[in-house]
Amino acid sequence: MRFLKTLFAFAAAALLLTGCGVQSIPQAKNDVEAKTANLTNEYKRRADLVPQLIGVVKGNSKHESETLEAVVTARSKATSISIDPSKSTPEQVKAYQSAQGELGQALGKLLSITENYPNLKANDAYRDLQSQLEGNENRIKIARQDLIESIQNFNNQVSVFPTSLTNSWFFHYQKLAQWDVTAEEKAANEKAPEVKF
Amino acid sequence: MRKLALILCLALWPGLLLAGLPQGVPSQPSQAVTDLAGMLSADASARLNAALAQVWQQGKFQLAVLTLPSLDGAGIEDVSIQVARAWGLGSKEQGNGVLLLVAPSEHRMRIEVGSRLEGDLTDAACSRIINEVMAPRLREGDNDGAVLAGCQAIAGQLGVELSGMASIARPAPVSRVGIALIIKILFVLAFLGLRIFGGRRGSGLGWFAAGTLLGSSGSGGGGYSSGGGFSGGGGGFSGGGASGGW
Repeated sequence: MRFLKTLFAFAAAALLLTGCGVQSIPQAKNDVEAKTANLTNEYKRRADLVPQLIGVVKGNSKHESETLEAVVTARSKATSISIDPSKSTPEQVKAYQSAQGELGQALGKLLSITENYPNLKANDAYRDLQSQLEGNENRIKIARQDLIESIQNFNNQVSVFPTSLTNSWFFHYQKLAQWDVTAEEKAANEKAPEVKF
Repeated sequence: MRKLALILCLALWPGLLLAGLPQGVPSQPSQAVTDLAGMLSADASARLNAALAQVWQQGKFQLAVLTLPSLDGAGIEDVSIQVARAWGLGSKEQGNGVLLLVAPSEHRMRIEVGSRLEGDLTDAACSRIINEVMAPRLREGDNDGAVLAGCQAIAGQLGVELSGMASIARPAPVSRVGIALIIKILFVLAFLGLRIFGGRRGSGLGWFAAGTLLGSSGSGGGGYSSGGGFSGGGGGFSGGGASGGW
């Protein structure tokens, strides 16, 4: 009889605890880590595509050494910074994001300049690379949105009642630094796109 | 009392955030083709519905076609990822969903590829399908041909040949009717055969299978939602694919 009572108490406790973040807080943390890995993966893929693009552009355009150099510099800067999702400070996130943002912008500039070279535009290798880079840019955007949502969820779990209580009793996690658009990206977003006829 | 209300509000807040689905996503369809822009003929839609339902029944991949009358100023990439995720295309384990989205008034289209299919249906391949297969036909106003050929090219990349598409290479109306008739006769024969088998077993299986086969002929089999489960979770979309215009 006493055994049954204990069992019942345990079952009740388990039921109560499952809604209180004992499971969901670590799950949210794992989710943030997975989504960060996803995003850094996409950034790495972009960095891997850059040398191929530069090779193709170099062979087909004569006067773009400055733009090419900007891409090479931005790439080496972006690949030199890595990030640890569980221990990242807001400054680290900012530095990482601005390095990646610079590479994105340098690449965008290179891709827009190559519009002026008809032989490049007709080049199959270039067109495939271009579509891969565009796809990669889109994946980065989505991976970043997913990560932002995941961090928001984790921060809610850690800071909002009732799961915040569980956190303060068991886990002692801090809120994670949220990813945000960088100042340069903000400026680029707010600038109206150019229309050419 | 006010305190209690506050606590309740706080407790419900994360739930409310999660419940907010993207606005304006069309409801999950029961068939492969959702032609909201009305740019496809009934015949083309029916043939695509039948062929794509068959592919999905065989467990290969789930390709959905959506045409939208307007993007409401949103980017086609944003719309397509929202739709692909909301519809949960493909099975969760295999991440094998594909969405072909066409917005005729904006002259934009996009192929959104499930994460596990990205190896075969690469961004570059999608871009070629859009620019070399679909865009020229759309420019000529051949909407049916563009979407049929696009779907066929997507299936081809994934190593599948769509059935009932033979006539699109030669768009002669006479042969199209002929082949459609032959296909219909074959369907009816298959239907009758399955009905007999189903009757012998005394179960609804025959009817179910026949409904699957005849999904496009309006027999109410629900070709796309049965079998693999249209709402099977999916979600394996990470932004792969390509966009283009015409």
